[in-house]
Amino acid sequence: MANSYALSSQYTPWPMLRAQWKDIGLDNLAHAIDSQITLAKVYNTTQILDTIHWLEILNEENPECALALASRLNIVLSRVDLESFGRWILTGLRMYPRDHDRQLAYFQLDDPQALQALNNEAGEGSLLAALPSLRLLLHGLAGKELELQQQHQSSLYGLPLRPVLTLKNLLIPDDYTHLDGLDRYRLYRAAIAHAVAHLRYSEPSLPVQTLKPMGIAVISAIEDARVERLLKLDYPGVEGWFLEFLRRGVKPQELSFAALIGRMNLALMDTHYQDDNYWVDKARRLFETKENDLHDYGAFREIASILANDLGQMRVPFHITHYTVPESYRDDNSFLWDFTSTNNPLPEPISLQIKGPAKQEKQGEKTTRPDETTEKVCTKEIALSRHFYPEWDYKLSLMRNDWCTVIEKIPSQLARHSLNNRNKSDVKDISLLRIRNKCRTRLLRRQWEGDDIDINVAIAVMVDKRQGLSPDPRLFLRRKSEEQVSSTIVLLDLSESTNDIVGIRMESILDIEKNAALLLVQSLVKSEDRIAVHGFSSNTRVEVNYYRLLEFGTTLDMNATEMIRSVPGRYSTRMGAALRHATSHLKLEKTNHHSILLITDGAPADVDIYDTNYLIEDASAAVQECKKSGVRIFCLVLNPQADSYVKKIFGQHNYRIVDNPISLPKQLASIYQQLVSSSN
Amino acid sequence: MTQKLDVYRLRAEPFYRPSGNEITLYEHAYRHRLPLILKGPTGCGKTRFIEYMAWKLDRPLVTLACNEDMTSSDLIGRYLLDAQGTAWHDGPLTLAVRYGGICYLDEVVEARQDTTVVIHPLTDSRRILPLDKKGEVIHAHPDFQLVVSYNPGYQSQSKDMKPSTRQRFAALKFDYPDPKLEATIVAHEASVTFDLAERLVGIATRSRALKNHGIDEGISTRMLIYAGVLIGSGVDPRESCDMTMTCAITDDPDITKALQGFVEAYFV
Repeated sequence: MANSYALSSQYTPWPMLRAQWKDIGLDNLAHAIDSQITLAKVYNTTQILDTIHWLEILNEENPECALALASRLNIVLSRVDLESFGRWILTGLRMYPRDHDRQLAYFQLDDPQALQALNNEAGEGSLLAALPSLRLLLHGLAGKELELQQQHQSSLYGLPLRPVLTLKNLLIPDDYTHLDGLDRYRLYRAAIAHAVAHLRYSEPSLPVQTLKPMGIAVISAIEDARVERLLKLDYPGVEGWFLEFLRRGVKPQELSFAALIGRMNLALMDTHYQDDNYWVDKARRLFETKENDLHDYGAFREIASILANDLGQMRVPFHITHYTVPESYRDDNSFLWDFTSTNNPLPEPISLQIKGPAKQEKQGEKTTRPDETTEKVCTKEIALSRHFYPEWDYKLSLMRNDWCTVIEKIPSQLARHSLNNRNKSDVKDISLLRIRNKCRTRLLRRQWEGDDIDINVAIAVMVDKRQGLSPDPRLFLRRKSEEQVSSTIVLLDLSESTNDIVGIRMESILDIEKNAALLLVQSLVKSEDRIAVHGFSSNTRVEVNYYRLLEFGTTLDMNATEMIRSVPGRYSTRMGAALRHATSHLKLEKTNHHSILLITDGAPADVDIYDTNYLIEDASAAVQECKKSGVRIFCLVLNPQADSYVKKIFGQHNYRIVDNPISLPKQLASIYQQLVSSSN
Repeated sequence: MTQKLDVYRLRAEPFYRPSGNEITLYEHAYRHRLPLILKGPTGCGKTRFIEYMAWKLDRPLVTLACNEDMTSSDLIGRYLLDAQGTAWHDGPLTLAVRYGGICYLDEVVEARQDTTVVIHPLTDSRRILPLDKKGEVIHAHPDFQLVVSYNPGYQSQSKDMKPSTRQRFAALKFDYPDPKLEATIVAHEASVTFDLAERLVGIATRSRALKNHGIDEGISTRMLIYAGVLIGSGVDPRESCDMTMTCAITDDPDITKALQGFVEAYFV
């Protein structure tokens, strides 16, 4: 799962770092941090490490500022979250570049702008919080699925990041400060619309050939304007989305390359904008001559070549290492170019965006909690029993009997002990989800009393009376909850990938799964419905680990909670065998309705299977077998790109893609309610 | 006797624009009196289609909206009391069977499966309706046809038709019309300009891409018509869309925000 929050990965633990700092004379900084953290007592390990990470970077650039900030840590952190904290630091450095005194005043909070920036950051939603709705917006506007990810800025003095677009991904920077726009959601939205414009109308990866960097930048800017104009024809409202930021960034008096490009960009979109620069005016005139041929890429490329040539004639300096696309919502245009086909050696950066001196987080790289790096889960588990299940080989159309070995286990005591300490505080944070009264009502006829009169019985009563017979007086209808109860297994995918950290609260997928299951179970304490929580992972067909974390009919006491909390995420996802085994447990239930609610984060896979379709086909076969046994299966999948395989496995109406992992508990409760209320 | 169904006749031609050859297919099915399932997403025009066909074929249309409290008596009829004693009153299905109308059971899967089995003898070669309580067997009028509708998009497994019921029907699949046609329909029904209707359809198309990503169904043609009607009466387009589409279709804040993004992409 993608949304790794890069900050918290791979830090040195604070006690070790503190010792190192003391060795290199950073005693004061360490002391300042200690005193602030000790005073507050409200920060968890992750927050402390992320904060220290920012201070460490700032210290490398400007120790005096770092010390000043460390001494005021509590004031700052009481107003903003960690994501905003990083942006607030960047704002100060970008607001006063190379002005040490003003930077110091900013971090000492003596500068009114510092407080203003703090308030602005505090007032705005974070990118992580906005990602779920932005994903849907991107999906809808683009008409296809793209992965939307956060792009992390880890350099304080690097150029501001710009979005990066590929055919399958859009990376949105997390370093937009209030200097870029007061309402960041509008900025993200404009970035999405611009990306959609490229996806719809730009030819990707054109060969650079002999183009010079300045030419590439001008052609890219003209292409940006062309595709935005085209998108405006489709979505008239997006003009306002773009103009807000085109106007914000423009510098009317400046004659640098970036300023001229910015002025041109605004002139090409805003008909009311007046610019007295000859080159900008020429760009606008040339562009307008082709206004009716917006689909003619070649014509606009010619215009761009003329304009680039003019800039060369004007001796406008262009430094690729200092240039970034002027508008913060526009992507870095690496989408448009294929730099590998050029015969000429290129300037250092492949994209037009300079990444800054500091290291960039590798996209898609898994992040783990810092405290997890030192904590190894004990793998000595107790195997309770072994069960053999068939597996469907779709290539041979053969059901291989007794092919998979499901081993029922309980998590190790050591893992339970260590994890118990870590998660103790989380337990009390769980608030009960309110499962609404199930609408599984049935109309009971022939009642002594009730809400309505049964017209058929009433007539029969009257007929009997007229005939002098003794009528049955039970002529009422009454609604009553159905007495039938259901049994549901919440089946958790416990594969390695569930350890990925996601969301603004920096939880692993596994923790989110567990929390959702715990919430659901707690909300059903007073219900007659029976629920169990099981989990599975697999390490080839001979070891499909299966954990009965909470059995049917048992209460969710501390021991059971501990058991659920402690089970580790590892190995792979052999879904078919797990579903068959879960079904075998449900068959023992005496209730009327049996369901499996599977929570997973990816497609079935295992290390001994190389054909990606094999385990999908087997899982699909297992689902059909379960259905025949009267077990209903619904899958909640935490992977926005799961459409391709979940429908195949579970059928059209038996899955839901959870785009925002944080919403999993809510969605799990909602699906559970739907399942049990539609059982009659 | 056919005047008993006169009240069910459509007085004026309902507005309907075909999106394929559904009219021809229906006419063929009617010629052979094949029972029909109309299936498709909510608000895509299934009911309007059957109204149009009833008008075109000049047949009465007896419509019944199904629900889970419905009993077979609600379909076929019951004895009621009057001054003289008990008197049998035909239900809507019996009326259509007896006097020759098209009986349209809307959202048939909402009815309990044990209720809908009464239609079985009507939907095979027998074409009869036994009235057990009355001791009568009605042979269906030659003009009688049974049509049912349902929406496969959000029905759960338990609310599906029994295979034994389902296999008695031929099916016509409906979907939202292509954008141009849908805009024509919205423009006509809401009395708005084609350009405005096109924008509304654009929003709906975007929302339909989010199916299974938090919403079970996208914005329907009917919702677009509601939005168009409000805009036509002077309500701000964005407020109209919020009222009839965004707020109506979901309570989820993330989806709401995304849908509002679609609206704002089309309306400045």
